[in-house]
Amino acid sequence: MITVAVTGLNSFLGAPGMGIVHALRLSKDKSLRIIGIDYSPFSDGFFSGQLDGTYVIPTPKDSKFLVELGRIAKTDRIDVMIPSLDAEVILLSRMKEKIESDLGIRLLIPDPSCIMRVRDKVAQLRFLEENRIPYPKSKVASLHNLNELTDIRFPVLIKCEDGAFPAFNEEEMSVIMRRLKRRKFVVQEYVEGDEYSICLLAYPKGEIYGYVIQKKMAQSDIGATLVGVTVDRQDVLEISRDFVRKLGWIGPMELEFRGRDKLYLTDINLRFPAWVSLTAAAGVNLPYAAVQLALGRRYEVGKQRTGVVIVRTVRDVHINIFDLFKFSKSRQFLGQDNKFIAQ
Amino acid sequence: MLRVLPKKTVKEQIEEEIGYLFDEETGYVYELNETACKIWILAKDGLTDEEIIKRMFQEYAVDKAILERDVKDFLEKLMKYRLVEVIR
Repeated sequence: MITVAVTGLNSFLGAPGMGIVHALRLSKDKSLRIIGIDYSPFSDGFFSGQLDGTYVIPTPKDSKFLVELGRIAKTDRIDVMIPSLDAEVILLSRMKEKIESDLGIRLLIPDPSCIMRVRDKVAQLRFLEENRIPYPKSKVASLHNLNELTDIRFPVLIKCEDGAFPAFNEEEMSVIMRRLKRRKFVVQEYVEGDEYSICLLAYPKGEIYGYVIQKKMAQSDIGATLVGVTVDRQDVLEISRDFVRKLGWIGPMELEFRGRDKLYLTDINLRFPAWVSLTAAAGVNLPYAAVQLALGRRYEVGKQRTGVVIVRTVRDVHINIFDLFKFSKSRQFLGQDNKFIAQ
Repeated sequence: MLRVLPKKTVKEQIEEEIGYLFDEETGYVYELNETACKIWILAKDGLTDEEIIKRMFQEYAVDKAILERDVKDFLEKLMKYRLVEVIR
């Protein structure tokens, strides 16, 4: 039996945890036990009925994180952990050695220096520039040098660790910057056109082991895929190969592109995307491949099938208030076949 | 004389009176009406624009000028949307 721990179970915040779980279930591998770990007892994934174990733990920033993870590892003997949030990847990377040696949990993530080259938006811009990866016209800016952005055309996206925020004029831009209170921002011209994204798994370092490319057909107001279709874009694949090789990445990643005749790299996510179950449906089960590679096993991924569509859905569940209360208090719920009872 | 063949990246689903093309490069889907389906099938068989018009004129009781215009318009659209390659 192989136990896989998946984090990021709040689908409403765009976390991909449940997409990963869905893909792992589609592998039909009966030897997989999947446990869900999240920081909030209200994350919808806990109530999906798809998990063999559920745990609420402190965030990796909290000093108790490792102790709690160790406690779970003792009860549930976690073999592989798939982090699902950008913020987790860097923190877990710093603790990787300890997690692997002390807790016996394997992680398929790069070292911190590799992550830091693209984690911070300003560093990311520098990396893209130096490595000649096509990206939309961008400038580093702060509240004090807005008058130097004379050659940037609106609308723009203001990017920082908090996310990307659209601004249609200078006034909006300064309001957003004042509200976010960051020292530096990347101001990027908005490129019109179709949107494509690639979900990839790099292994070994710097090489794409498997990938699936989708065109976004419908998206939420924060840009998350609601409907997407798998496509075969050689330009997306070539830029991605070049990027992954130059960065020396290992593990899951999503790269987003936009444009008309020429595509530009518009966003980088250091984890699987929320639409990751589409990789399994298209014949390239990347979460399952990640588990196998983390365990040191070879797993052959095929070529993606095109024309496969994902439609993200929402399913409501109804539970007993006492079950929810007990779950949030105990921070662990393993009873009654892990099913909450509908009332 | 014009001869076009579907690009390898175009998938099709042709039903009785309607058809669909999926461009697996761009992700766009196109709907074909009955006439377009027939032109598409004949073009796929390697017929030139003139041969398509001749064949369809023999099979259907239609105005030749309208048929010529329909075939020309449809083939131009296929080229515009890069769904076919022109064979020289």
